[in-house]
Amino acid sequence: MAALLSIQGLSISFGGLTALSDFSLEAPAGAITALIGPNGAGKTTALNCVSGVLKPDAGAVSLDGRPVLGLAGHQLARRGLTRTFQNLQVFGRMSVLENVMVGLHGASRREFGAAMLRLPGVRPEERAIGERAWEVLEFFGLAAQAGQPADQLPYGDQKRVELARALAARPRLMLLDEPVAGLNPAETDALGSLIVKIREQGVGLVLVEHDMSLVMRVSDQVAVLSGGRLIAFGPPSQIQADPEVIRTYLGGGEEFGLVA
Amino acid sequence: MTRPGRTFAAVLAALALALALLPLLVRNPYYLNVLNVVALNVLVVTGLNLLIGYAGQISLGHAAFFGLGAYISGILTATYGWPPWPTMLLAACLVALIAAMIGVPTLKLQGNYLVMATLGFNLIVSVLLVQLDDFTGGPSGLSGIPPLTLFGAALNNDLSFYWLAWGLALLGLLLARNLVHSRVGRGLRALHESPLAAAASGVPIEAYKVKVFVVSAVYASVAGSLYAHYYGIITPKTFDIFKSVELVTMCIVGGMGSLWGSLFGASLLTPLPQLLEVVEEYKDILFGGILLVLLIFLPQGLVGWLEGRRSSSGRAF
Repeated sequence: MAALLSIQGLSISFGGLTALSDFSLEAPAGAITALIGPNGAGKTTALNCVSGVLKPDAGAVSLDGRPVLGLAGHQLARRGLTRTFQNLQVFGRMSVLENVMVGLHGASRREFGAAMLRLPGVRPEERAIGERAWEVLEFFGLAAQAGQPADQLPYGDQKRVELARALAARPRLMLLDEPVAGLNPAETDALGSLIVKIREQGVGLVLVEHDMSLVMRVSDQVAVLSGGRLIAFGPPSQIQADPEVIRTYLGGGEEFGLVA
Repeated sequence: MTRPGRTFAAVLAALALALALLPLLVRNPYYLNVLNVVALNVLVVTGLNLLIGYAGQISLGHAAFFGLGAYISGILTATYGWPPWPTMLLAACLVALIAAMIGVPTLKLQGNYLVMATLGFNLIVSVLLVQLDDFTGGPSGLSGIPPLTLFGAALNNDLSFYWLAWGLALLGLLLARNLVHSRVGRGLRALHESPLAAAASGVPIEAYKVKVFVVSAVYASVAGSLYAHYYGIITPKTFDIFKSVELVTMCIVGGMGSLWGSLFGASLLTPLPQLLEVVEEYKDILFGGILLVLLIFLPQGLVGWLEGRRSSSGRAF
């Protein structure tokens, strides 16, 4: 598997606190790479560095072999890297459909002048955006709620809206920051299946998650962070048996009971 | 997407018809004058609403852009004899440039630095309009600005200017509607709600904030140029910081993020000081008070409040 995302020697500290230290990771296309670790291990910080929200002190990040560090969020989106957020970031007062349409922003290009004057080309583009958005809504089972303001949906549905928005523009890589946090077991199960279906489309996924049973069920490879350092990396079965991982993160063996 | 768009077009057409018939009823030039000022305010507030209501960026300096449009047009046509229409275009371009110069550095920063920058800018422009009296005529103003002409006819009375002012106000509304119902409009609303998620979705948030600020400044500039040619005389006081507060109040009264709100807010508040003659002296206090009360009790504005009532009672929305 050729690396779609390659992170090399990423380091960042806030004041005296080292959040990430010499962190390297490769994530292939069409696979789910889970990033786990205790709170404060640097998982979200890593996602924020990759997605252009934070600027690391050192290191390199490349997407498809091209360096992407220092690019702004919207430039990354245009190159096929999208993300969801740990604390839900839907556009609450916009409809579910519009939320997904915003996800297609980078895939379309008519700007202010053309939009105001309704130049030829605006309408076909709008139609294309709309069609793709409906397609994505149907994939996520959100078509019935398309016209509702996003903030009126149940929490679990809002999580799916965010995921739909991130998938809309057919990204190559999606970063998911705790996609099932706050969901009940049934919703977690359903979302897990959706993530697997996204992988089947050839999208590479990096998944930050605390729900170990989900991680072990869907991941192709697992990276374990602790104190900003990578302490283990491998397939789920290997990670579950890793003595250091068990000691620093998983604790006792009871978690494994959840894995079928 | 097409349905709200079509409704808008239908309402706009009905409005245009009503406005076309209105002069048959309103013969009094005083009322026509008020209607003309309303039209100019509608133009400025529509632009301002794109900035405040849709993109969530606040400007307290739009009276300065209004004033720059008026003075650039006024000085170049009255003092140097330039032709009014091309000069109006030039004024709009210069104002766009100035807005970009303010917007680029301040809109990069997180937080509402634009409020402070535009506030400061408005104060500077006010002082310059008074102090550069060789050009501006100082506190007593600039006079002798020629009227606009259209197809050879001078628009030098209230009725002829009425057609032009409302024509352009409706055009401004239509262009704004087109923008709002486009990917750009969605991008603006998205960056208002969550800049982080908007950027991650591909919206160039910094560029969009600057561009919408420039567009709103151009709306103000065009209205300013029209104002100058309509009155023939302009004074600095018309474009001071209190005028900016007034414009923001109109925007908020009508409803942020609602284009009809722009029309509503400007139509409601423009004649208010004239209607309540006792308070005309205290106009600035009146607008400040309205703004304060509204932000506390009706932050979504009148149109937003009405829509909210309708949707909560009907559940059809």
